[in-house]
Amino acid sequence: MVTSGRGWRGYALLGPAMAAMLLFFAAAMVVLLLLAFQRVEEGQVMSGLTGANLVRFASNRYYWGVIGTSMKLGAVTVVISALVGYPVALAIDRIRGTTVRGLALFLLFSPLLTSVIVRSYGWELMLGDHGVINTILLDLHILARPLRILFEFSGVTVAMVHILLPFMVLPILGVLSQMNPSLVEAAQDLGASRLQVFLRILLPLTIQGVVVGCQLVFALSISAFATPTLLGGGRVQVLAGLIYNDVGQLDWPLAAVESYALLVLALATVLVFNRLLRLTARPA
Amino acid sequence: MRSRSVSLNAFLAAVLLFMVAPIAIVIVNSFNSVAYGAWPPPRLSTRWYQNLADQPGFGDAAVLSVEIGIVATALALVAGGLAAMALVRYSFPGRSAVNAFLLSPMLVPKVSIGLAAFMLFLRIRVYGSFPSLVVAHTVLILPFMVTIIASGLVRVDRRLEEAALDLGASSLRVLWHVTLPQIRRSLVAALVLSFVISFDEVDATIFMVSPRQPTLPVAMYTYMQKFQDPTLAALSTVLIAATFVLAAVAFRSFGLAGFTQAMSRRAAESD
Repeated sequence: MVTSGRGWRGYALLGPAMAAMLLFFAAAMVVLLLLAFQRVEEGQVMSGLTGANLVRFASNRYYWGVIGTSMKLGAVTVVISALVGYPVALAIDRIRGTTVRGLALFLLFSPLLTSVIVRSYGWELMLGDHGVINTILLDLHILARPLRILFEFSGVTVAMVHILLPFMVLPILGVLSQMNPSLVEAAQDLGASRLQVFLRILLPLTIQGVVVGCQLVFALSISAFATPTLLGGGRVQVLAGLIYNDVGQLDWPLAAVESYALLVLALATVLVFNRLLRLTARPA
Repeated sequence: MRSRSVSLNAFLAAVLLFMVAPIAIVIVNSFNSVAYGAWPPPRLSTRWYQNLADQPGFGDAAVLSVEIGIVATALALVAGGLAAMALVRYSFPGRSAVNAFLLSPMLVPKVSIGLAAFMLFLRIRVYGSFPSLVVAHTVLILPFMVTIIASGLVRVDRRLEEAALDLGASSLRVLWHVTLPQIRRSLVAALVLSFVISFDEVDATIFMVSPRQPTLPVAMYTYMQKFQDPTLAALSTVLIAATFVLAAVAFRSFGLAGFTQAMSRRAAESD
């Protein structure tokens, strides 16, 4: 990268962006942090700092349960996305025709072109008691009673996998396309079984892509708001939904504590997966 | 080996069907003649489009969302473009710290940003105002703007700029006639992506808008919590059509590779 010019001009160019970031983003995050240690009575922020909000959050088992649900949603979504996304990436990587490949990628990414509300509504139509899936399964006499998926953890998971799958496939596809295909052929010629080829060749060479995919999917699913609240129907409570509810009940300090709990979880995720990335890095 | 690739392709086809199914269902259901519990639709009708046109709230909300999207994208383009220029072309103490700081809104969960903005706006008495929403959206899309424009700038051929300067062009003319044309694709990608992110934003915006004046996705969120009739499907179909036009424009201008690259950046806002 070519760099030039004197420092002060660089700072001047950064001016507008830094002004917006400091005056809005940093200021807002500081206000939120302060609020976590303040008391609010009848919509008025009281003076003086207190640790009571933290204690109130940490000592209530319900909130830990909600954190547990958020983590479980993240974990289940990551595992399913990886199990589905890996073969999808393999299949797309093997497509030779550019048009077919482009079409496959376009279909894979098409959920990202629609808003989260549209997608959630689509899943309500698909998964409801009288939805498409249940109607088909009942008509074929595969089921006697409709499956309860909508407004359950399972329905939320389906919708989360749907929207986050592209974030799993893309990094895996990236490392696959950089891989030398003759490595797999050589292993096969030397008599390796499919499982051996996968475990000894494919997986070690693509594990970095899998880890990046898992990092993206996990971070995005633990902080998801609209999908779990709309498709959970109040029965699946995640941290992001809890924050929204507490704001509605005017318990702003508790919502602030929960926001920072979510932020800490998100940052911890990034750190853990970055560590995994370093551990799986092949010596050059 | 043959059977294996057949089963792999069958799996891919099934997954792609899964990806488009909910969107296809929304489009079909927007022409459903009845509101509830009827699949497949007994008859086709456009009554929900009529109903949509009769709902005053969605129109106002759509206008507000478009206005916020345009103004925030324009502001982020200027601020983010200049910042990308500083980060790519200048070396100064603290550059990597500034870079990390400018990208940090991508890392912080949207609801946390939304609540933080809500508390700040209440405190400085601008809650629910148009400028407050614009500033918040500008910051939310700034990281995307900076990274995409910076990725274009690093590939710019500096020799062409130097040649133009040597031939006596002013630095503004060089920027306009030499530098910007070279990063045209990145600029289009950044503009389209930023507008779409702003236009679709729910998680943070839901804390910042007043219930009487919601943005379009927030209005849709509230509507969906109360009703589930196909009016929402009609509105969604209109939005899907509009998004595909935008996507086609973006696709034409930066090709498949750029398209997938841009979509992969749509990480943060699309839970």
